[in-house]
Amino acid sequence: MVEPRSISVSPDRWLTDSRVYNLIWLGRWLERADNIARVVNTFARMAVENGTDMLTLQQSLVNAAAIRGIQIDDEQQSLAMLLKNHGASSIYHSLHTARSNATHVGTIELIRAISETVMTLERDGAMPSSPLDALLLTNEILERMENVYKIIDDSWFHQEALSEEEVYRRFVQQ
Amino acid sequence: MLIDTTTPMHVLNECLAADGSVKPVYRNLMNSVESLGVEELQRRWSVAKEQAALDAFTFMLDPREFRTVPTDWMPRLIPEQDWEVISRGVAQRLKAINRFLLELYCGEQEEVVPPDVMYSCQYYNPELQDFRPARDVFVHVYGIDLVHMGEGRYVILEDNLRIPSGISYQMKSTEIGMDVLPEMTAGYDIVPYDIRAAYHEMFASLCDTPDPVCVLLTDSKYGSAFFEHRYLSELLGIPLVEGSDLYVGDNGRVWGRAMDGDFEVDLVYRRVEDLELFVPGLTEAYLDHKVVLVNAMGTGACDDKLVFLWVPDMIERYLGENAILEQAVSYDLRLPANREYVLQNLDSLVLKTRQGYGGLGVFILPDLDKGYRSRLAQQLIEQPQVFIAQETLDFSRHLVFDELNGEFEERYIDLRVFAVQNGNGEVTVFPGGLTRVSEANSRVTNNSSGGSCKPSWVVR
Repeated sequence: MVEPRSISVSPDRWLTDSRVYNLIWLGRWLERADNIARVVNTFARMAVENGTDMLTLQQSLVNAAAIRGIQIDDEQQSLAMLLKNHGASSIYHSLHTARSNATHVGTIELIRAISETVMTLERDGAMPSSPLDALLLTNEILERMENVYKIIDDSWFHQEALSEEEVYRRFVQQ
Repeated sequence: MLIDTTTPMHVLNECLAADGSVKPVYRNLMNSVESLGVEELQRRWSVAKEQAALDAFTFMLDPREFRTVPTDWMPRLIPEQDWEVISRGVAQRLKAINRFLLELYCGEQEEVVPPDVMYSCQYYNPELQDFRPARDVFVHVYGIDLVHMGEGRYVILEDNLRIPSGISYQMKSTEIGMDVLPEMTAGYDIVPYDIRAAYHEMFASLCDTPDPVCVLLTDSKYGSAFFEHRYLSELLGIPLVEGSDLYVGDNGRVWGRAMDGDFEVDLVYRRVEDLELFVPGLTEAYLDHKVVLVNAMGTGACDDKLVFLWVPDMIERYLGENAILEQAVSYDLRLPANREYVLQNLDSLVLKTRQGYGGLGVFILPDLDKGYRSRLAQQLIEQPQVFIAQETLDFSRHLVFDELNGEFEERYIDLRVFAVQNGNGEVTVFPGGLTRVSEANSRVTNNSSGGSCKPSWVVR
């Protein structure tokens, strides 16, 4: 094998505009997915603890969603909407979009970790039929998201994370 | 028995001989397939598909839809003796086309391709007149589409010289296939290759600076081949940039825009067509030799399907050799006699628009209904210069596993082979290539037209 002449090998050396853009949106979409997952998880936990039925859980999720500006017209669909079917405000859509941002800036480990979370919602029979199912599903999603954060924190993001002050300073400079 | 080896084949199949028996090179593979059994194959196919989704191994036809590359994980095997001929033929063709482009833009090209053909070509760049690219290399990355006619006879269908796409699909499908179906490698010595080293050598040899800064310019994560851009950027260790990340500075050089300080760029491995749309001023910087473009501007002139007809003449003229690989018999429809012949034989020919790509503008006339054929014939009469015609080839098929019904089906396949040429004129052809598989009842294999892919191994 011929030893190649060298080039500058440094894929992550520069925080280009498109990387910054995708990093910001990666964070925002992950945060949105996390937020919705925690809302559903909390209400599902309460429903399990109180022994309430699926219809009651669905009704309470409509109100919880409305407080966050998410309108759901059919209360019997509220859980499915928040998990997967709402155009912009579902866990699935948020993770799906976060993965798209990650494909631009992330390592393959990060892409895989987000994909695993997305696929949790794509499995056959993923849609919960009881509050307990909803609790277990969102527990799993949140666990998988913990793994996503760990990858960002441990092996990747902290290497190029800048303090807020530094980010602001550089923006002003530009 | 999973695969019927008792029924005689009426068409050319890469795995099975005319009497239905397994061809020698495929025996080990077929034994592995048989011993896995249908249920296990279905399970493995499902695992491989999941792996593709996890790794975002995509080719997106709609940017809103996450679509993994449809892949059949059973590999195509190319005997090394066949590959040796393909490899020499591809390198020969690349060198001849490069010489032609050099003469076209920097000399007096009037003898090989008729000027009216050349100058009516959509991708001919008149602004490149008298421009010599770095180290006189126009074609750095080359993709060539071949079909197998049997007995190691491969025929060229077309050349891809602007932004040839697919090398990462060749690598990723092999990577997942070997990972999920390791049994299939049993009994084979697969010829390895090193794309990273060849690309680094190519990039470095084109630049005057030590340790040049190279970037891969993508059209964004919404582009159909974005997986390839990301994969190559990671593999080659070069930044993935969008048009908005680059600008041309006051010194005429190309700069990368970054929060932590802008940086000068020596080489842009561009995976976009409209350079000015993405980076205003890039063409001028290129023409001033302030940046290297891979591939160079102007290569599209030889993507033209009418220019294709003269490539054997280029080989003869510039290299003094006969073409190693034959190409599909094609007809220049500007000539009345050819037009007449084509109009009389519409049911046995393929019609292609000169600038079509991705399976668009390819009309396999025997597969179309009579009404459609008549409409195309009318267009051909009105605008003969827009089309070429080729003989319809009965090329090879391969076995493709249908994981839903657990059966093997036959589909047409072609082979896109990739090569790179460095600044010293040395060509590296990567063993294997990307096998593209047609949909059922079709001969069109392009991924953007619904085709799938298959790992391809060159075996000793």
